[in-house]
Amino acid sequence: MADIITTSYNLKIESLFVDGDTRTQTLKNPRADITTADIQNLESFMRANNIIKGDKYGGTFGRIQTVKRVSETRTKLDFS
Amino acid sequence: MSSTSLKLVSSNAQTGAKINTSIPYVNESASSATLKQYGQMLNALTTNNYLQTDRVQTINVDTEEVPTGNTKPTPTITLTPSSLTRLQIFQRSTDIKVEWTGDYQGNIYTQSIEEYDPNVYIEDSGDDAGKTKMYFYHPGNQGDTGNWYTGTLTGIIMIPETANYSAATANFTVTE
Repeated sequence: MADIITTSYNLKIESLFVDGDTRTQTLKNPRADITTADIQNLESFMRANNIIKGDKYGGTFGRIQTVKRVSETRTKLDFS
Repeated sequence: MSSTSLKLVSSNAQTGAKINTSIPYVNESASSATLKQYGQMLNALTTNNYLQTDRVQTINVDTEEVPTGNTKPTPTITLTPSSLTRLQIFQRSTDIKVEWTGDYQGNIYTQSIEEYDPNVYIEDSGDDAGKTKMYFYHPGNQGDTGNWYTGTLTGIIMIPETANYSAATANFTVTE
């Protein structure tokens, strides 16, 4: 048996709140073709509805600061 | 402290495996429709199949105060009859039976009628089974109606709030 290598992808959306607090939301299996417009639409919706709050002081949502598509490779070692 | 979070439930498009994504600290005032739209927008950034969005209320039982919502039952008061003439009260010819639901055993009060005639009293029935009824009476002589307020009197039977019951009221009237 050989080692088993798997790769998974996550989307990490970092939000900035007006009090300087930041939070990161992680979504599994992000699309490969996410556009700037997709993120801008999401940001507009989040701001219009103040949909999430800061987790330190309950701050008001300000904007999406960064969006990262992160790959994680796991290697299951073969000990047999 | 309590907080509201959102749980996005989706499934892997290839394997069908369920994926739960928790978004803590969402705006507790947001409508369910808004939360659903947010869940769908997040899911649209993925290849997962959207299943549902849940609003999740989390209460920290270590710090949460006793809920302020009143969960105590409210007794239902029944008056039989619910009105008397003043002559009936003078004559003590008809009692008003006051019954209520639950096992409330405290004092019962009247309001309003004393404002018109301080000589009207309520009397515990002395029922051995507890205060399951009471009567109105007037200590004056029969026919001595000269001091009565003329017109219809409206009174309120009141059970005060206790540790086990909410306050309850019922109206009765005294007519000429």
